[in-house]
Amino acid sequence: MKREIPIALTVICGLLITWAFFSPSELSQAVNVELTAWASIFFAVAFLLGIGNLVRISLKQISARHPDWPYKALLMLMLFGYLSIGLLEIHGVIESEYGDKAYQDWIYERIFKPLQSTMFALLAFYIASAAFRAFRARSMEATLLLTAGALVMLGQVPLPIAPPEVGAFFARVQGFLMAYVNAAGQSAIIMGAALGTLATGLRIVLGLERSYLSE
Amino acid sequence: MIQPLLALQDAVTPWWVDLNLWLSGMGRGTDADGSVLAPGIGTPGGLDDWIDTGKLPTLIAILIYAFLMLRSQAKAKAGAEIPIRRIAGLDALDEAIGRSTEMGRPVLYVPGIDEIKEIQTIYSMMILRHVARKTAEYGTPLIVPVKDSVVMTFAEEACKQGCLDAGRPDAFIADNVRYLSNEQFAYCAGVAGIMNREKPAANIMLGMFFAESLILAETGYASGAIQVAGTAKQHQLPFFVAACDYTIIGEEYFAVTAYLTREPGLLGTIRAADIIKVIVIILFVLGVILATATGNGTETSPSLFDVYGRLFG
Repeated sequence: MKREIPIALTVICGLLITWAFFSPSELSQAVNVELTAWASIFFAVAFLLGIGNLVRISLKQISARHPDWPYKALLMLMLFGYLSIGLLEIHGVIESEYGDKAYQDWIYERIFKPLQSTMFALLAFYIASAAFRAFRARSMEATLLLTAGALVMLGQVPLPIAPPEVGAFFARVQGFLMAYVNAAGQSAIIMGAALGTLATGLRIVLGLERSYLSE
Repeated sequence: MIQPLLALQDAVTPWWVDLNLWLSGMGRGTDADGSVLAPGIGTPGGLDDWIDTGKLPTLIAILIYAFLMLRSQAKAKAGAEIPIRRIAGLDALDEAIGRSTEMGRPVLYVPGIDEIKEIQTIYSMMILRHVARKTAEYGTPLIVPVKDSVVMTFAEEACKQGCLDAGRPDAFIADNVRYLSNEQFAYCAGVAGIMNREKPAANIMLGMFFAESLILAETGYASGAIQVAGTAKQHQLPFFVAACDYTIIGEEYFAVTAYLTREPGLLGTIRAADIIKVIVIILFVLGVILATATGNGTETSPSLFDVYGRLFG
């Protein structure tokens, strides 16, 4: 029963949601809204589990003086510090002339967002290093990749010292490669992935795929 | 020859107009005096109330697919041999885990950053179970950092079950399934930190990835780990191809469990997908011919007579 009940629930919920997708009836839409609301509640509860996992592992490493313990201590400080500031602001214990949640927003805007942007900016360097390795013409395929990449790049960048016709030519070549060769490859991948997605979805909804459940 | 056909066209109503009228007619109600109301969506008590007729082709396609899938599964279970081509990226999973074992270092499994409602994430959990079984058999630690707390509970179950499958329940280490952050780049920084500090010898990245894919793959490359990545997200594939040792591309991703287990039921679904693919390719070719024949695409619902006229008239 431990296995059958979750499978039955998956099949019933899957079929109900599928029904709601195809049917505009009031009943199906009401069921859809209800199930989605339940899912939101589950997600909210599971969020607490995530925090619990983070706190448990971090405190264990701090108490064991693991080599990473200073990072974990900083993580805990930020986690509980940010939470405390938010709670204190909501309950009006601390106030700012700059409006509600001003301290929380300041931390988010002035510390978190720049850190996030820094991580994202690393992509510029990583793209260059990955492209350098991928574009080494060691085989026929790699040479084709290099040639296509160079042509697309020449079509994208301004060529100030070349006559305008040269720039226009590379732009046309780039347009052709992107609109036909690249789009055709992408369409094939999308089609295969869509069929795989459908097959997996059907297997789960029909209860044929059970390996995601415990025995 | 085309003239009689064009004359006939005026007299014959195309089949899809008939079908549409029939479907609309199913939704017709009656007025107080008993006369039939005009066809239209939303008339009470009709078919339109129960099925969105605009989505009917999708429903029919799904039912055909489901039928083919069940039939292929039955055939496979009855003993029909379904061959599956060699996929280097999937063979490399064992190689990567073996290498980690030899080096005495952990395996890192990144299940992507999407929620559990994303089918790729669910599928990643199924693959995780196989990876957990292998690592438990070899006695190699498996680290699974997750971005979503629901995914965390699934990952814990998958790892636990994998260890049970291997007959080594003691190999499950609860602290190795780690919730890092719900924010994309904070999670990315956390995984990069694990790659740099704990030096896993194998990085397996399977699931739904976004802009963090290249950051993770390049960090893993710099740390010297063997890397196997896979996703059905076509925009991230070039990054994985450029930075990883093996890449599982698009539909291959959804064949992983069938490939690894060779279970007849799962192999049957792959056969069904191939049959559908052939049908879709035929439809593509027909579509290209029809689109070419019907001109600039501004016309709607061209009849077969129009197409015949353009091709041969």
